[in-house]
Amino acid sequence: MDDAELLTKIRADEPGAFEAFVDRFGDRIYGFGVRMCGEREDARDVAQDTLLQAYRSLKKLKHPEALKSWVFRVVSNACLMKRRKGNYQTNREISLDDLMPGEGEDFSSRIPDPGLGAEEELVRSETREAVRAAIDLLPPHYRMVLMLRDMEHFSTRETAEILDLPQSTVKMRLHRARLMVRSELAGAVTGGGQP
Amino acid sequence: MTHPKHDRLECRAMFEKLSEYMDGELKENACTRFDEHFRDCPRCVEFVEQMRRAVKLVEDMPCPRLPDDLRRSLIAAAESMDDHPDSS
Ligand SMILES: [Zn+2]
Repeated sequence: MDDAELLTKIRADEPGAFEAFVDRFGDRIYGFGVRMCGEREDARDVAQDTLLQAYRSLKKLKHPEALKSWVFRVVSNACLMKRRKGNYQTNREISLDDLMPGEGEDFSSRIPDPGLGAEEELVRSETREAVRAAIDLLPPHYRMVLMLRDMEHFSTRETAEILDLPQSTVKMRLHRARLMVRSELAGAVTGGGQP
Repeated sequence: MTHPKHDRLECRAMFEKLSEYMDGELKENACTRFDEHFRDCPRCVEFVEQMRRAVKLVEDMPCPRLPDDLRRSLIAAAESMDDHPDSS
């Protein structure tokens, strides 16, 4: 079933339409909540509110091709609301100079090559743990852009629409997020005050 | 070793636009400028390679599963919503 068929089913209130919707988006919405809010009650609340709210408002959606964008618009807003209730954090942009690697840094290896399929399970799970930790360390407004672009594969334009941001801001945040993840994975010392 | 013509300002310019380069979002002449720089700058080549690996690792992260109890309570909540449709 593609998105258009799913939307038709939802609009017609067919039996099982909500279950089909949860099958399509449940894991991804929950995953998004977990990565934005941590594995706490918050992630469950976000998933619950988003799936129900998105489902209810889907009946008004005119273009089925916008289904996925619409769902992620609802979940990103829910995550932002959760954050506002919690600690206040500014959306300060990090200067590129602070992310520039040092002159002496060696880029030749250290980050595991995802292409090497024969890796042992232990190495794979350690790598995943490191990636998860690197993503968790990102400021939330960078993490959100990274998730939409590199995990959910939205385009720059779509991400800008979902988050109500200019495309230039999406590009800037994505680039900084990737630089920070790379730096963490390479075990580089950041902010060492290199010339 | 630094190439005789190697210009660190050029590395900096690459560094700024690297994600756009990787995502194919740059205009052709900007891409050509990148490719020319890479011929002279193994350090930038290695850096891009690390960036690609990092992005690939992020892309390959498995998605957490919606817990079964949450799925069940959601479906129950949706069913009770159907029983009491709002008046609008
Ligand atoms: Zn260079």
